Amino acid sequence: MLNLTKNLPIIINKLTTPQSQKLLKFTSNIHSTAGNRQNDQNLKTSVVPQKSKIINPLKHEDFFQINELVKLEDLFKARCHYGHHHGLRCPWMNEFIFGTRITTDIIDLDQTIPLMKRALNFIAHIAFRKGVILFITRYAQHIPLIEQSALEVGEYSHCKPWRNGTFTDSTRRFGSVIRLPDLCIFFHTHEKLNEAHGALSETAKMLIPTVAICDSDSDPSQITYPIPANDDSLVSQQLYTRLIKEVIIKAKKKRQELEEQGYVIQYE
Amino acid sequence: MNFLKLSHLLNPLKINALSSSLPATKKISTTVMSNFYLNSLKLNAKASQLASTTKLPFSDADDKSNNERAENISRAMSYYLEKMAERESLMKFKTEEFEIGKRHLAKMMGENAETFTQDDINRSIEYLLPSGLFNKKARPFLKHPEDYYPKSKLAAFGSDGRPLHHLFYTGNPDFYQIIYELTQKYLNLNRLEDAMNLIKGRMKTIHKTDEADLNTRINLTGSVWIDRNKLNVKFNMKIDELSYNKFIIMLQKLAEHSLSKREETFIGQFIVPFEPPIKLSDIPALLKDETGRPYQELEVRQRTAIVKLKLYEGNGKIKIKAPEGNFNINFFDSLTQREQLLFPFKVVDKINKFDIEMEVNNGGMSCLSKAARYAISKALCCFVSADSIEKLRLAGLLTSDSRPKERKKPGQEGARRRYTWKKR
Repeated sequence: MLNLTKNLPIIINKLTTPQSQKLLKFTSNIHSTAGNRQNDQNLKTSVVPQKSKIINPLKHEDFFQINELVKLEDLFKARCHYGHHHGLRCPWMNEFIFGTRITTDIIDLDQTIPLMKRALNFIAHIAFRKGVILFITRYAQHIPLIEQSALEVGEYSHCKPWRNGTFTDSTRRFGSVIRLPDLCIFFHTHEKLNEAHGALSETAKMLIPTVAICDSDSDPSQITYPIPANDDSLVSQQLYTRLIKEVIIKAKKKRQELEEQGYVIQYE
Repeated sequence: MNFLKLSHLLNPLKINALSSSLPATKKISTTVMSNFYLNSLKLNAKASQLASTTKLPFSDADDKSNNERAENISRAMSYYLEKMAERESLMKFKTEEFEIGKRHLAKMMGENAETFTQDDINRSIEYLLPSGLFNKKARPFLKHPEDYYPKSKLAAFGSDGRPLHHLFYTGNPDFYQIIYELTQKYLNLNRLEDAMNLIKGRMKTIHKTDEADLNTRINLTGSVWIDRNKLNVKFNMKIDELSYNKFIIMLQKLAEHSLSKREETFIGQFIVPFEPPIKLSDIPALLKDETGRPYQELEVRQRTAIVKLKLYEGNGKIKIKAPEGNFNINFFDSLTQREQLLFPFKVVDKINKFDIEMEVNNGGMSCLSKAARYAISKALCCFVSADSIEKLRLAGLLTSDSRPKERKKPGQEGARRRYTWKKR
C-alpha cells in the first residue's frame, strides 16, 4: 500500500477510493455538471501546486492598496472630526479627542487614519476569504443607505430592531443551524439614545470580530477594530460606505483574478 | 517512516487538512510512532474534518489548497440535507402505512380498495369509530401524511452556508424586503422631484395640491389598504399588528407623494377595492299579502327576547301582540323605549308612513324594544333607497347587539347589584 501511494500521483488515489466516490455522488446533487467539471480542474491544481504560484496575502504589507484610499482631506470635508457635546463623552474615547471647541469635542483625524486603514484592511481580508459580512446600524436616517450598500456588494445588513439571541440562540431563532457572519460592521454603535447596540455583546460572545465607527459618545472597548469618527452625519456615512464598498469589491475581484490565473492562496 | 504516508493511510482524502492542522514540530519528529500517537492522529483527522465544515472566520477551510468538494458544504447545509433526508424517509414510511390502512379499511367496509377515495375513508371512519368529541380536530381520521405533516421549507442558504437573502439575519427577510423597496422608491421619487423642481426653477412645495399634482399622484378613491391577514397570506409571511401599522403609515406616505403615480404597480399590490359592508344583493325582496299590499316579515332574537315583525306600508299604526294581550305603542311604558321604536323611521324621514305588526315573547322591556328597533331597521331596508340604507348603517341601526345576559355573581343580588348593607 505504501509503495503504491508513493508511485502513483495522489489525485488518482483520491478518486478511486470508495470514500471519495461516495463524496462525489453526494456533491453532484448540489453542484451542476458544469460546476463539477470546473471543480475537477480546481482539485487538480490544488493538489499539485507550483511553488511560484503560491500566495500568502497575510505576508504582504498592503495587499489591497488601502493606503491610497484613505485621505485626510476627504475625512475633513465629510465632517468626520465632529464629535458630540463634551458632557456626553465616553472616557475610553479620551485618547482620540483632539480638543473641545465651543463645548463640542473634536476628534483627532491623525489618529483616525491609521485605525481606519487597519480596519479596512481587515474587512478586505475577510471579503477575500469569502467571509460573511454584516452591516449594522439603527440610525433611522442612514438605514436606506446602509442596506443599499450591503446589497450592492453582495453582503448582508441588519438595520431592524435587534432581537436578543439572534447570534447566541440562532438555531432556535432561525429554525435550523445557520452560518453566522464572520464580521460585523457597526455604522452606529447605539441602538437607542446612549444605549449600546444589542449585537455588540452578542458578537463578543460568539467571537465574531467587529469594526465600528466610534463617535465621542460610544464605547470602543468592546470593539475589535474601532474607528474614531463622526457617526451621525449622512455625509460621513456616505464616505464610510463608499470606502468599505470599494474595499470589498476590490478584495472579491482580486480573489477572482488570482483564481483565474491559477494562483493558490495559502495561509500558514 | 514518513508522516505524510502514514496519515495517508489513515485518511487518504484529508492530507492537506491534516498537515495544516498539526504544528510544524510534529511533522518533523516522526521517527518513532507509538500507538498513542497514531490514535491522536486519528482524533486530529476527525477534528480537521469538523473544522473544515464549520467555517470559522479564521479557519483555512476556504483556501484553495484545502478546497475539496466535500468540504464545500457548510455545516448549515449538511444539517439541512440531513433533516430533509430524515423527513423524506419518514414520509415514505408514513405513506406506506397510509396505503395499507386504506386497503384494510376498504376490506372492512366490503368495498374495492382500488377505487376507495378520501371521501369514502371519511365516511367509513365516521361509521366505524363514531366520535362525539366537540373539537373536530380531536376526532379520529385517516389522511395522506402530506396533508397533515408540516411542509418542508426550502433552504435559505447556499451550499457554502451563505444566506441567499441580503436581509436574512433580520429573521423576517420577506417583510423587510418590501419595506426596503418601499423606502428606496420613496427616496427615488424625492430625488426626481428635486431634479424636476430644479428644471422648473421653483422651490419644493410640500403637500400642496395643484392641478399638475392630480395627474401625477395616485388616486386611491374607491380602494382601501389590504388588511393584515390578507397581506400575510399574499406574501406568505407573519407580521404582527405593530409592524403592520407602521407599514401602512409608510405606504400612505408613498401614496401621498406628488409623483406617486410612477409607483402605481408597487402600491397596487397593497390595495383592494372598497366593499360596502351592506350589499344590495343581500337585501331580500318585498313580499305581498292577499290584497297585494307590500310587506316584509322577520324574526329577531336578542338575549331572551323574541320579536316577530311584519312591516307594511301605511300610516303609522302599531299593533303589538304579547302573551298578556294586544297592545299599541302603550305596551312600552318608558318614553325612551317608544322613541327607540320610532328612531329608524326618523333616520330615513318616514315617520307615519309604515304600519307595524309585532309579536313579542319573553325578555325584559328594554331588551324587547332594542330587538324591535333592530327588526324594524332591517325590514326598512327593503323599502328605502341605498342612500337611506347607508344612513341607517351609519346610525348603527343595522348592527345587532350580540351581548349575552351577564351572569349573576355569588354574594350579590344580581350581575352587579349588591345586597342591601345594614350596619347593624
